[in-house]
Amino acid sequence: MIKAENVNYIYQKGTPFERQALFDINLEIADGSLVALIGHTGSGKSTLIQLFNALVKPTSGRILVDGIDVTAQKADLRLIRRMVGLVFQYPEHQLFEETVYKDIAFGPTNMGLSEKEIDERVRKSAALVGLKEKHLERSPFDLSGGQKRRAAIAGVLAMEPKVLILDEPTAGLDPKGRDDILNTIKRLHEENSDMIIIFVSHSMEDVAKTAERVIVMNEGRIETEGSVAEVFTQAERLQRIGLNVPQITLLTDKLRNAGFNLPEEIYTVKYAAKAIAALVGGDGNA
Amino acid sequence: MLKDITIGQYIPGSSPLHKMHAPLKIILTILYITVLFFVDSPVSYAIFTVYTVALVLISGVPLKVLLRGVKPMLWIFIFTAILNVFMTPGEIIWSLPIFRFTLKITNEGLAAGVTMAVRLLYLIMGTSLLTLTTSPLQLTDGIEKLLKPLRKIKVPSHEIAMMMTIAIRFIPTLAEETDKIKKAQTARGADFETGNIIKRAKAMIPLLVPLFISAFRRADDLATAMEARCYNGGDNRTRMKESHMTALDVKAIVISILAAAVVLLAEFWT
Amino acid sequence: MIKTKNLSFVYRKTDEDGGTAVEEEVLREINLTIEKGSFTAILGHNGSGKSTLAKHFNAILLPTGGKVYVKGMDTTDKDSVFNIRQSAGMVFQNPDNQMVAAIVEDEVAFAPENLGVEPKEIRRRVDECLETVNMTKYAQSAPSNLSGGQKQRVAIAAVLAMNPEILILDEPTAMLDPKGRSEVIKTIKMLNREKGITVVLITHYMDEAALADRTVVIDDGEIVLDGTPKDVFRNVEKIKSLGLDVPQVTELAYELRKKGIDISEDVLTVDECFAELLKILGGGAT
Repeated sequence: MIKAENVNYIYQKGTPFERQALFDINLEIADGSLVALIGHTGSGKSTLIQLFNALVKPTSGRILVDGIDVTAQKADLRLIRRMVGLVFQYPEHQLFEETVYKDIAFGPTNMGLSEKEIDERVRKSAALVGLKEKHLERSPFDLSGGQKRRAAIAGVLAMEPKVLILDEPTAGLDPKGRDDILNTIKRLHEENSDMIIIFVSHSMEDVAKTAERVIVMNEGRIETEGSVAEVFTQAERLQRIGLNVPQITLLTDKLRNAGFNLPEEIYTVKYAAKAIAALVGGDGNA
Repeated sequence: MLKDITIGQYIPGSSPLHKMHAPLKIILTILYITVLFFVDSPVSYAIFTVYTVALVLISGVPLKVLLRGVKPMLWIFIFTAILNVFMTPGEIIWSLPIFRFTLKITNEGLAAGVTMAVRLLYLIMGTSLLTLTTSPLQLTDGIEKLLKPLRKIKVPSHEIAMMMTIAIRFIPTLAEETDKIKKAQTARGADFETGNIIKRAKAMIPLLVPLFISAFRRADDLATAMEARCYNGGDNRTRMKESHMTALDVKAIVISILAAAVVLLAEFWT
Repeated sequence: MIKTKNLSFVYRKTDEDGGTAVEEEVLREINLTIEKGSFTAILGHNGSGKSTLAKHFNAILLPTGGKVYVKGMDTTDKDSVFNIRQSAGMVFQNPDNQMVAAIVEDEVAFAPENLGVEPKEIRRRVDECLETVNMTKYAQSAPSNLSGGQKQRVAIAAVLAMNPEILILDEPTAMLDPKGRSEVIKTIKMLNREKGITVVLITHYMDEAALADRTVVIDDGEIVLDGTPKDVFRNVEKIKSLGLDVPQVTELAYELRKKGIDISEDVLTVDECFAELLKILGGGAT
């Protein structure tokens, strides 16, 4: 479980560039959750995730991961980084080894695991992200864009973290590459019932397709949080803070305002089609 | 870190220093440095200090910004000062014998240490003043103009200037990127801080390889983008900011030469 | 404005599995004419050949078969290269990697300086182009202090300073956040509508393609669909099979038709879809 208590973060404190990036963040994320973190650039979401694995320390407040205070002065950084895996934006830019295998092995090697264990983990995490055996012996730079990104994610997975955080994992990918990554995230969630997965996204469509819970950040604060359905019913609020609300949400909102009776939790095309078809059939009309 | 380097950081303004003809400003900065290395006596140091302070005041560059550029050089200062303090022979004012070797401070050493530190401080302030009041483009244009006579002996003056422009442009980008990759590898358990030299050098590989690859990718992209905007080397190129010498520059020449003369006279006549 | 005649492009690359050089046909017999003043979107997934095609429009790449004509000039004609590049300006994907100068206005001046334009005229163009993209305020800023959207607008201004008639944009929004994307798209639309500039927008975002007058879909180096956005997006199955997205409401209409509901296939926007649904549902419930 992740628990944040009254977390504040002031960027470059004591310099002319001082700026408060996070204000009094309180939140709890249960084991096994698949959470989307959304908000526009500068909303504080990138800072928040870096706090989770102690890459930056909060100005005040504390964060507990599995009961361990990651913000403590004497926190065991090695242990924390093992517990909380962080996949940065454009993670393929951090690949450096001669082969995909060696690159994925970088994290477990740093952890000081035995060769046998490293080998098992590399193969397992490569399979989890959908890379094939033949890819492992290749140079990471010969892979396609989407494959490179999956190799980089495997590199973090191989550390077998309890919490996996992905910063904008679909940035710059085309629709197919995007869907591959989102499906990988879903599969990871299904196959690791305890792991907390948090992914940062700008796209409400991606969130609707993938996440179970949503945390919306705005100007350093948590604007709203809840299940996908709960958050998506607040379309106006989301638009007001500059997020792009999916067409389906806008359309169902409009229909509801026009007096049609539609269930609140519609956020996929398939579901909307079913509900609207029911309306046309006559049994949904208010 | 890289972010603290003031060279290449330009503070826009409209002071006489900002308005000066860039090639001339470079020449006068060279003059300033040359004179600085002749300065030794307290009197000439005093005059030189007045001149430097006047330049800083005229430039309108906040002292804080100027000193920020000095900060990364601090250890060089201390090292040079200490070396001078202990290594200069002369009248001993303090000594400490260690085995067969005696550590001693002399009057002359103390003076040399202070002189050296002040000289370095002025050297950095002078050059920083040049880069802080001259936009990178003007600066590289200035260098290109000064090097132009050397084109005859096949010195690629335009290419050198272009390289400098691009380097200045990409310093902040690469600094940011370094920071990002460092964080990403740290999250994978990389350790850049502990261990002996060999271990630390090895730990740099996961940082340097991605950085180089990214630099090459950027270079490739930039070359294409420049080509797409009809870049074709220095021939037939014009400049938006064609600067010419003005009355201000003539004044600057006179003042600089006068100041140099006064300082040198004070140095060698007293 | 631009005309391709049986354009083919073959490129040597290393093979997927080994390291042997193989020849890959990236573009196959492309015949495409771009009309003056039009706004054409070229849509395709990564690796479809769309960027390669774009680079042929200003002689960055030369065809290995067939011809490309820009304003009647053959791109393989060495004497016309600079005329072609001046007429068909190109903006690239990565905002950081296409900037040469450390100050915004110097960046905009770069192209006209290369063309040997008079200093006074350069000044005039720089001021005018920065005004056009609404970046006058930032003329003295360093590019590194700008947001992604602002950087791309500067990149557009830097190309406009050549007075081009055609603007080619190679995935200009792929690396931007939603706010930056909408800034850039707004600018592009304005340039087309108000300044009469012919726009070719390479993208994998269907919502951007839907804004164009004409959408050309490329797959595996060939044109597979070509027409107005409505004509193109009504092929929901086909577009999805190419690994691309269709607007959610278009997909909704498609799903509804599958359920036997008679709704027009020409819906791209929420408003259009809402209007169509009202027709079917009987003008609103009470």
